[in-house]
Amino acid sequence: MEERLHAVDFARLIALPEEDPERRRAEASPEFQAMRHMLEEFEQPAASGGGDFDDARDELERRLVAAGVVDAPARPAPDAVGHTGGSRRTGLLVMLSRPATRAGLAFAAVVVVIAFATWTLNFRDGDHLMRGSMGATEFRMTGVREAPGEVVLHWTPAPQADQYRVVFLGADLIETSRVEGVKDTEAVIRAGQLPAGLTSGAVVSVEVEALRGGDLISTTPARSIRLP
Amino acid sequence: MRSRPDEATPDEALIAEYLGDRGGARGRAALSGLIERWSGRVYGWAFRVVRERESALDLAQESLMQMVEALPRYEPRGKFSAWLFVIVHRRCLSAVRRRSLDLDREIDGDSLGARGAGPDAEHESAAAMRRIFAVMEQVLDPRERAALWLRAYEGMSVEDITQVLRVDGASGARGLLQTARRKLRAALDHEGGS
Repeated sequence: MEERLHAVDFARLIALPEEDPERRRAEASPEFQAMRHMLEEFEQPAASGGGDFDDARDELERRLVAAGVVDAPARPAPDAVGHTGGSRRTGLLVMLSRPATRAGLAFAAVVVVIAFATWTLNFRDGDHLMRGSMGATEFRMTGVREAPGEVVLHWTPAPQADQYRVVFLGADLIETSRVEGVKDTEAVIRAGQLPAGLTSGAVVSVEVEALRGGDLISTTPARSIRLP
Repeated sequence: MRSRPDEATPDEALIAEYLGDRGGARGRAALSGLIERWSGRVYGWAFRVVRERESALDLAQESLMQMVEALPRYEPRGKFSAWLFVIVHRRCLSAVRRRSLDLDREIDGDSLGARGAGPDAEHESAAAMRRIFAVMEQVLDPRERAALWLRAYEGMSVEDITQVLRVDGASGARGLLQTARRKLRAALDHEGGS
């Protein structure tokens, strides 16, 4: 679908006073209305959790530490809209700050990595789908080569994938175009033959989706490229 | 010992601190504070969309990593939570794209686009979509518009729409959707016949 509200635009419009003419025009759009309602819900953490919400949140934190996105030591959980994480969360953060716990987590991370490596090496044609945090980190782009008139993308093969899809994202990470049915682990983007929706010279994010039987099984982290 | 971001520090200040000291201790602490502030909500939303813990964890992790990559392009005059929300929500929708783009068959097998270009919204022509949006704005009230959009284009369940729009009554959002669809169809029929 085209003309979706962009993240940057939505963030700007929602920050305007309700009486602002531009905001009022935006409010007439069903998409803006829907996004505003969803945003209000998104900002309410207590209403968004599943049954194992706290455990999942802790698991997410472990993954982000393992991926090097955040540091392992405890940090406060500041809350922009006045909610707190609760005593269980605070207790966890205190526990995480202890040297013994940190050493344990480091050991656990090593065990997870070894287990995944073993699983990968032993992988044969089973029924496993490449899901979970390791799928997200191991299926990745290995290179972007920019040459005059073309950009070549390379990525690691995803176990069980029968084809790949190259997805282009705008500055707000909303999909702007895609190339379907890529059989190899590389794609060449040529000037003059750009997929619809892309502009030569523009900087975009690109990610690769691995598919099996038409089902998405893994996605690489996004990389930025300049289109030829 | 790493300094801890003040809980009252606005999101924008944490972003500025991170961008000003990427790779440094202060920058990493600011980024960690920002992520910790929002990670629960990100996971919660992903879970709401995909209804499955592992997939939700994958999506939350990917969304937050994308957020970090996109932070240099963030415009501070906007509202950070809204910017982040769009990233998260669109990423989740991509994961369930086919399901989310199916139009509303659950109500009674009918749909917004069924009259125009078939049940698959991806293949709707831009002109047909613009026409439907224009009619929606003319004949539906804001809540009906939002409900229909959430159902048809955001792939949200009727139960979730009931909660998001805070719809009262036993039928929840189902009744609202039925009313909206009936009004929309009547308007489209009238427009097509005139």
